[in-house]
Amino acid sequence: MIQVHNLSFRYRKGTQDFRFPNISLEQHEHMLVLGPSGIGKTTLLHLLAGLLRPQNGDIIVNNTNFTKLSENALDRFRGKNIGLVFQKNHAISSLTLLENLQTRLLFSRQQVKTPEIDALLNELQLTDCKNSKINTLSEGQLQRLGIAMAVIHKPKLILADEPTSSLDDENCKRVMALLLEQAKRTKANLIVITHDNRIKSHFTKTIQL
Amino acid sequence: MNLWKLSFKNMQSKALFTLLSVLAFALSIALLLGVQQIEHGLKQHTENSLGQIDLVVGAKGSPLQLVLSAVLHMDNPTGNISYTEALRMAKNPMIKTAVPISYGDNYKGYKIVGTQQEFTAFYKAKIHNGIWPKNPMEVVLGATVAKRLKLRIGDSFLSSHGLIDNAIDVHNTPLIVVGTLAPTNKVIDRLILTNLESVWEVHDHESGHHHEVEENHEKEEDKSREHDHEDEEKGDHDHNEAVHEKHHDQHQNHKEITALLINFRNPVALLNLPRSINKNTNMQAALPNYEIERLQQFTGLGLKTLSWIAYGILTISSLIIFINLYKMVKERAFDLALLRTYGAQPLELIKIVSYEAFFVGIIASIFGLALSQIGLYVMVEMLSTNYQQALQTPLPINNYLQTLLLVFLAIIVAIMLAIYPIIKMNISNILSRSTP
Repeated sequence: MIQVHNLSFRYRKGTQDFRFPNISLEQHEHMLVLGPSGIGKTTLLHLLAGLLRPQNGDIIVNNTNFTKLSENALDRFRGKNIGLVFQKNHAISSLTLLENLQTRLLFSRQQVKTPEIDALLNELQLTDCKNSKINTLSEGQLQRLGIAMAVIHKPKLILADEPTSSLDDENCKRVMALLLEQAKRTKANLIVITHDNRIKSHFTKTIQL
Repeated sequence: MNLWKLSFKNMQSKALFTLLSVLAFALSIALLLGVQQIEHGLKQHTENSLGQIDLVVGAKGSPLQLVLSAVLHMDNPTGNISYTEALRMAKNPMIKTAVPISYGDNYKGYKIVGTQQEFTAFYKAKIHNGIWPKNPMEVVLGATVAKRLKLRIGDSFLSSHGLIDNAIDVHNTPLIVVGTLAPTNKVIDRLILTNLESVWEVHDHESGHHHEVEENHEKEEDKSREHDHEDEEKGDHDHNEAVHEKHHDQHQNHKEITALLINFRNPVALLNLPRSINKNTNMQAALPNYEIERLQQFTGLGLKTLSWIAYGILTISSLIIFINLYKMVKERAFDLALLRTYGAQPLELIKIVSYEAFFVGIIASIFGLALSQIGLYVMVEMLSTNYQQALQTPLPINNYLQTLLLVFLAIIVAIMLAIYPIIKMNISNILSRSTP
């Protein structure tokens, strides 16, 4: 369950505040945030991920208003409850695919058993390359690794930043299907922020910035 | 997965750069330790050899030579002085002990020193086996001599003249071993000690030029001989034993010694006594501590240069490690920001960076330590035996700790400078820049 109230953010003193609409999502509810570039989409995403502190307002995830948490507590909260999918997928290049997942789990301080990791890798068709170095992976494998990294620790909120905008129609559909599937499996709310209108049909709830 | 493993994987991904840091650090540690060990070894060796000798009195000449020959036993003597005159001088109330030494012979390169048992007190050397020589022609061996020459009590040998081993100029009176000394790691270990009478007797038997009564006769005889030796050793092998005995008491007054080693009762003597001896007698007084310090001012220069080079390399190593870490923090800013989105705290990122630096430091310390020991071992193998003992003197643990502390301080400073971007990290900003 996600609640966002009265949220605003200011980059520097003297500049105008970004004001964001209220959001309220029940369990299993997902949402699409649409808007042209420069309107503050990424800012909203970073606020929701706890990477930025809002000027005002509350963000309640998993019954916790994390805007009020200390730095360390916020790091822990983020590690445990938030999963981020980036437009271009990044992972630590000195590690293998599996080691990246293990690193993710290390910092989220979550215990996930090996069979569970294997099951996820299998679902995302990454089993064959789990011991490969990141720079040997294909675009598609990287895209799927990005999703795996966002859901491996079973977060309460999955945030995706333009996950499909660089993909063709075919891959766009596949990625959306995987995201929704994983959100369902982990019982997480999914918020996708994009200017990609192709994926509108996947969502019942949409807000326009 | 843990933080150590993350650091390690990161180092693995830039193995060459890590190796460079380790090598540079190891080299500076090896140099620092090596120089310290040489410095310490030589200093201790010399200080040890000086024992508790405050002043040495010998024949006129170079004071440094007098100290080197009579105290460190590394050089030829300046000449002889009259025993009577030396004894008269030793009556000075400021003098606690005065020990005469007389030498001129060696056995297989080890110096035979005629002296009194008080000599051993300068070095706190104890009789290990047997007794101190009671009769002429009896000797007690320093620990190194006994070990190297494998001589035991009851063994006898023939000494040869001069301070270098030779087979040409061998005395014909055998010396008998009656005791050995416990090891002291001081110069006394390398000496063969006997009483003054032995040295006198060896030379009396074989020469008589200082028998006043026979001086004229002596001179004549000398002329008829080949002048291939110095005064004292001019042969008079057919000299009559009875004549020698007859004049024994008489020539007691004309006995000569090489030097007199003195220990003061009162440090004030340091100021007055040497000056008075140098001015009023035909003997020379030299202060071993002062002379050796003067010598070390010259010889220490090389070591000093070497340690400055070592410090220079240490500074460069610290710079390398700083650049290494800073590069990682800057270039991998995106990776580090990513770790923050995974829930990593700044402290955890700092730990990853620090572990890397400490890993380099620890490996380099082990390498450096090994390198310095191997280096010294090679040096010892190449140098003459006299210095072996000095170089093998173990460095006090404090010097090791100081060097390691210095290295780790350098590493800590490098870490401090490198982690600044982590503390100031703006995750949102880095992620918004999208492509790393």
